Amino acid sequence: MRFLWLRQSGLPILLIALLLIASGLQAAVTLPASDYRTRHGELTERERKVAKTAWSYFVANYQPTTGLVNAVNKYPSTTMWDSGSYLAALTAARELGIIDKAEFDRRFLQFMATINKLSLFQNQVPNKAYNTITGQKVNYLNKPGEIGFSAIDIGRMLLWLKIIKERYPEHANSIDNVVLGWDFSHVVDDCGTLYGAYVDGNKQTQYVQEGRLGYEEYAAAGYQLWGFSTCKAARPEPYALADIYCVLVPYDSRDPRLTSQHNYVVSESYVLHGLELGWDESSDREDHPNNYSHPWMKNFADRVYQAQENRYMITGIMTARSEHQLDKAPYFVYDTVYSDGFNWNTITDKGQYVPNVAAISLKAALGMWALWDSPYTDRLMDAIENASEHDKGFYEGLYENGDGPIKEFTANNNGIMLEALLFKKEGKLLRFNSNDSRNKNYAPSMWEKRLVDVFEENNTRRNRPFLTLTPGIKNWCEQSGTAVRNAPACQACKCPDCNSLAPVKLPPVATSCLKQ
Amino acid sequence: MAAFGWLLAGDHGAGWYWLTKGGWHTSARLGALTPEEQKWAEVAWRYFENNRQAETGLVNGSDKRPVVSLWQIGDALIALTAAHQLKLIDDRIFDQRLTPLLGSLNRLPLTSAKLPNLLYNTSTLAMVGYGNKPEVIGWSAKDIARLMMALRIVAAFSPEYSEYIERVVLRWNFCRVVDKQGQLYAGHLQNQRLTPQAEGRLGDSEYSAAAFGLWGITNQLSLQPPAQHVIIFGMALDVDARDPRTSWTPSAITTLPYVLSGIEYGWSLPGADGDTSTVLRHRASQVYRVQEMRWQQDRILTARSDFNLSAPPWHVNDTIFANGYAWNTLADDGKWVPRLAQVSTRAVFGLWALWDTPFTEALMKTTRLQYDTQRGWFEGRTEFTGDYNRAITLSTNAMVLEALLFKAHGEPLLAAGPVPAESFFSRQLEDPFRMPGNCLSRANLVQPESVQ
Repeated sequence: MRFLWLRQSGLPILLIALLLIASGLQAAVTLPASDYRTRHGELTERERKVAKTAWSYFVANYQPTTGLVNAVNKYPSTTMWDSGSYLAALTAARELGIIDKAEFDRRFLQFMATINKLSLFQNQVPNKAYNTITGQKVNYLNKPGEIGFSAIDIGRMLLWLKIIKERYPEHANSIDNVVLGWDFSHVVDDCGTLYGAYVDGNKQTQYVQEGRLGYEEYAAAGYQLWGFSTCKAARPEPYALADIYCVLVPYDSRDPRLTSQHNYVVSESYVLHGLELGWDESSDREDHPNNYSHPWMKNFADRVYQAQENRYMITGIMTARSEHQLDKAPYFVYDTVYSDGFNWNTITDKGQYVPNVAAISLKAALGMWALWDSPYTDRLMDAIENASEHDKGFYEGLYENGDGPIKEFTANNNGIMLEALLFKKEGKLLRFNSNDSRNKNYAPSMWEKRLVDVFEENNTRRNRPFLTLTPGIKNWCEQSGTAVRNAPACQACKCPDCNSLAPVKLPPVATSCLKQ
Repeated sequence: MAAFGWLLAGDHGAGWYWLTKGGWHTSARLGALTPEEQKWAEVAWRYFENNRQAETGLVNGSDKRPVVSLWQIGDALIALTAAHQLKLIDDRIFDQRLTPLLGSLNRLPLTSAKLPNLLYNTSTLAMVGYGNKPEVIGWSAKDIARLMMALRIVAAFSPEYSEYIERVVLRWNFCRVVDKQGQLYAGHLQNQRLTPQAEGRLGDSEYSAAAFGLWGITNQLSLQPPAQHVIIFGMALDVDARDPRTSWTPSAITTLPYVLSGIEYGWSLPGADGDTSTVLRHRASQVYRVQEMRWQQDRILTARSDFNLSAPPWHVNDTIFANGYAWNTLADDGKWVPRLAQVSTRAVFGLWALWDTPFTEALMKTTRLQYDTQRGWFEGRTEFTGDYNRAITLSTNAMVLEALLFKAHGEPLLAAGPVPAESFFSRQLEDPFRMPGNCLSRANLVQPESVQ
């Protein structure tokens, strides 16, 4: 008996170490989520009803003076992110036949006129917030002023401008004019890191790396679509893993105690990448359903989905997590799968733990419904389909603790719900309609023509990217006699420590924590 | 054959010892002490010589400060046994040191709950508070458990004292410190009243439970606290699943409970069945391995345990994982103090004794000189600066002696197992007319055959 304790450690140390690593984490296991297919087909009557209700938000909160839509019900302020969600709603409404081309065009023309005339943050890129009635840049109290910019919000806007430019090329000019007016000097650096700006206590502008795993890569895709290289932002590193109901969920390992940015893991960022980019590389012009060319986005998204389904299976709590508004103090929470050290953390922007306001986020629920066809998401749909008010749209969420709906309405929630339904009908929302720049007879857009022109001074001044000289663009340059602006011979010299082509090794997906 | 025989006989028969005690199939560092290691033991023993209070036999918990906890009294008993076994003191000195200490323990003033207070003054034996003023402040099952375990170590090596050792424990009332499921309770002073509160998170919980099991007391619930995984360097480590944000009790992974369970019980904790022991052994390996990985991958020497400082915040919980973060370093009030992280002398000696590897060699290489020959071993070396943490405490110096005793002894210190049936303690419990009335009746005890 007394020697028994030693038996376990009887093998050479190295072998033990290997055994121990292998026994905890199961690399070969796959998640059920990776076998669920995305939903495809014409909308049913019930789904059309959901779409119409969601659109009613954008009818109620439309501001005729600017063409902008309030981000939150009746509060005349918005951001680039929420305006991106409005563009998603507008596109979905048109494609789903809720509005016609005439209504779309009227709304879009006025929206673009306002966006083109926006007073930018220090003449660079759009400010974090704008008044939707006056179109003025505003502070957090919706009073005139400037507070900084968000690279993530701008990324979502770039993504939607690209989607609309490709779907409706007749609007390409006004879209290109807007983006040509922006100065990216402080937004993207040589290594492809994204920066946001804020104004500190001494009224000095500070630029800080912005974006955490999930959102950072989603936003990076928006920049990639306009030709920027986003090497560092697009890499999944640095990340670590959390064991959540046996699923290994990746989270950004930059320490929130040091950086004052929370490393929240939620459905939204992965859902948006799935709906808009089909979990494909941004350069992937094809849409093969259930075929994902992005090296890891689908894999990570499956983990975030599976952790939530597992929570329902194990605890009975229906779960679809995202950041969302509240109808009471503290008014906004990061309601997460993981954040700041804890699974299922629900925190305010200051980091205070507020578990009582955890909720099923409707946008997360419907996004998951569209992207994972499973009995669990059927149930989520059943739970949320009538959580709405006539002429106001869908509620922000349903409290997990049984306190009923979050009686607040937002553009982001209703917009993402609409794009989820459009995804069911059409698949990946980014559809390349303009002809392929790889063809010789390709007609470049205004954006491309300006960017390849070596005599266009704003190219360098505004830190515009170097476009790849595809045969189509090259041909146009030769025919029009444009002197080509070439990328420096050695791109890697500008950022030797990031290689966007380095393969991403996927970490194991599950632990052996369940009793067999 | 001759060479083989020489191997077994050489080095004072260490080879034979190694073979018979199972050294050939363990990762531990077993064998007679080298001259350098003997010197380490002498330095550690200096602490006890310097800080012993002649009147009570108690030893100060930190250098020159006459306050001690039950955990530290346990440490002192182990240190004394080690000094005796490692021949730093002879039988006569051992007796002269042990006798007043056991006498004091049998005279120790108790709280209204008939349990020892958290702290005592080492020169007066008075119950005191954190400011060394006479005060009742509560009890800790974790500290009580450490003393109960240490008493068994003394009895195992010097059975002639076992009667007086067992009397110490029989004086206490166990009704409020452990329930019939084996949940342990601390006592806190609330509105002038001692209020029990469940105590022990994964790691500490099982280690404390083991000491109760050693004395035949039910400990099942505390042996199996709810666990969840955290992933560090791709390894799954177990941490208590109870939420520190709502329970206000930190859940941490740290080296000490795992190392002590190995040195004292070989991870076969009394009361634990085979499956539980397998889990505990695996957890201990992971705790070792993850610190080794940090050294191998990040090149940071790592051996974490709680430690003392000679300046505010005085006491630091330096962990592998706590409250959501890997390598978290927290003051007692929960404040994050990353710059205080250190390579702990205590943790180094524990890891060094149980795992004979290049990693523990590397740890010991920077640790082996961090002492004051006149006062004892320092607490550790600060990770951010490489400076010594010059605080000197009873627990660190006791750990040095305990680890060296383990090495020389060649097997877990408590391999002899729980209180034997032929003992004063058992006779007391068997006698229906002398029922002590302290919840130590036979009904509350596990049957001897179910104790491993």
